[in-house]
Amino acid sequence: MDDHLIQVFSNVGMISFIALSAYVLLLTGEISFGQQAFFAISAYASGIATAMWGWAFWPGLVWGAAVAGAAAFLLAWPTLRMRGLYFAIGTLAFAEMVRLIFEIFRYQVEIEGELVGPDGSEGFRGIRYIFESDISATQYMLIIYLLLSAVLAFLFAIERTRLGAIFRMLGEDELLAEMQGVNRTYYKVMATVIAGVIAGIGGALYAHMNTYIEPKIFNVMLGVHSLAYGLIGGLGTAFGPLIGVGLDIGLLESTRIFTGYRMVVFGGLVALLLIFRPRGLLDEAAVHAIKSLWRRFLPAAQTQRSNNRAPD
Amino acid sequence: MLQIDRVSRSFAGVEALRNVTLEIAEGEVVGLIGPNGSGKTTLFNVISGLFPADRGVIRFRGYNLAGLRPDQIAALGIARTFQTPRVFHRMTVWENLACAVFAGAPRTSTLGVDDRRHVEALLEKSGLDHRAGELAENLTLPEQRRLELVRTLVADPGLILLDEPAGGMTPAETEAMARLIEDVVPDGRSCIVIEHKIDMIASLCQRICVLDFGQVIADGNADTVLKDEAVLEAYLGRGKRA
Repeated sequence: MDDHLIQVFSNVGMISFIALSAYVLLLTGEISFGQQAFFAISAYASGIATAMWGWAFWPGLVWGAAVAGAAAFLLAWPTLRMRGLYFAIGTLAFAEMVRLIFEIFRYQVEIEGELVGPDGSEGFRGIRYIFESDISATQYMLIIYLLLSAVLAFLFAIERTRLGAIFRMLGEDELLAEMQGVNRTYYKVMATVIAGVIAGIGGALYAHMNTYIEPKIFNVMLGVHSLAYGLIGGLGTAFGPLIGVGLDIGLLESTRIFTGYRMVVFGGLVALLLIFRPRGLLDEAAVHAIKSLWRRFLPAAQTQRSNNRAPD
Repeated sequence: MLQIDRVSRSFAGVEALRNVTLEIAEGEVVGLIGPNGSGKTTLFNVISGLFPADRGVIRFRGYNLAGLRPDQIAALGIARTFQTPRVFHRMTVWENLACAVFAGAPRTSTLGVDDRRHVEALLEKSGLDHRAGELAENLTLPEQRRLELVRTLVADPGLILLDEPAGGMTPAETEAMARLIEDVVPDGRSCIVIEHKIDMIASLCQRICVLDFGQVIADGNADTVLKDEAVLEAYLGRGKRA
């Protein structure tokens, strides 16, 4: 695989984390324009851990994701009192606040005669753990996809349990869910934290692959894209946002012919999809149809057993 | 079981409920009737915690419901349906009931064999067993109402609030719904039924309570209440009965 392809696949993998992060909140019916904040927080926190404190990559990644999860928890309490558009605006304001804080955040130490650490709008250089540890681009891509598979497995697992059922109940009819005994605030806070941690994993991977991060990377467009991936790909399954990412980065970025018009194509695609498929390509009805079709090809006994499919 | 004591609730200065006092005994099925806008659904909304009461007290099995969230009230054993059926449209019929199992059982992470049997039994009772794998959005109105009804039973509530369970149905569908309610609601459960179809109410309920302008104007045996002067006036209007 050539370097460019590895780069494209690695980007698809990393951006998938933020897409899945927005997807978790979309499942519960919340639109967040602020998932890039958790991506950024983890990128900085994990970068500080490995480049400045001398931590290894994996503890640094866990630390970054944990800090992002904690930040999501702090955001969740005040913003979940808001609903719909107000929640969306609240998350956007939070993300911009985080970005502006990183614009003025300076914390540097001298390592081997060189100043290392976040330097406000100049960014944070020297997050070189991966390169200093002789981890190749291919190996790093495999790490990205290993973690992405783990997150996907986690999301598929929760979709088959009570937690996934409750997220979907809240997403479809919050009042009805509450009337059946679901504590709305508790589960929405939980979803926000899970989403924060997932974005955080992506952020830590991003910082270590690029070795350099700066606040403007984590601007509102990253948040808009992360939301659009789920809306394009569909909310019926966790594969949906990945399809969205694949369509955007995989198709448009790798086929350079569109590069100049990328945003125009992307915006048009989102607009068309929102008109014709408001819940994306793989929405719940599409997933249901695929499952029904699949069952038709299964042996009779299996069909009988899974006929009444449910989150089990 | 349920004591509603001088409950009032206003919206923008309009009193939707005025000193409503009502008591429902264990296992009692009570009809709640009244003209449109008389406060019937508001009373359900206040009992189920959607809105707090401005004044008065509601107790269920001794618990004061004041300040409790809807989910906490549901956990105490009060389930309800809605005037316009509310189901999870993007889920299958089976998933709607499975979700109700999950919602009512915080310690259940996956459905057990007993849960599945319970859901299957409810589906069979409701006649929706052949539609189990269908998305709820594809159900007809009577099917959605039947799904709503059996969903309330999943968590084995003590009190069921049915808001116009036969609304928008043909006479035959109404009759089928009445039979389903008779079939599934007993077993010691209490039930309050809001319905405009008086025949259905009379056949289901031993007792009828009538609301008008947010006040209880009659409460008692079905035969007596339906001949009550005030009730006839509330329904037919002053001077129009002749």
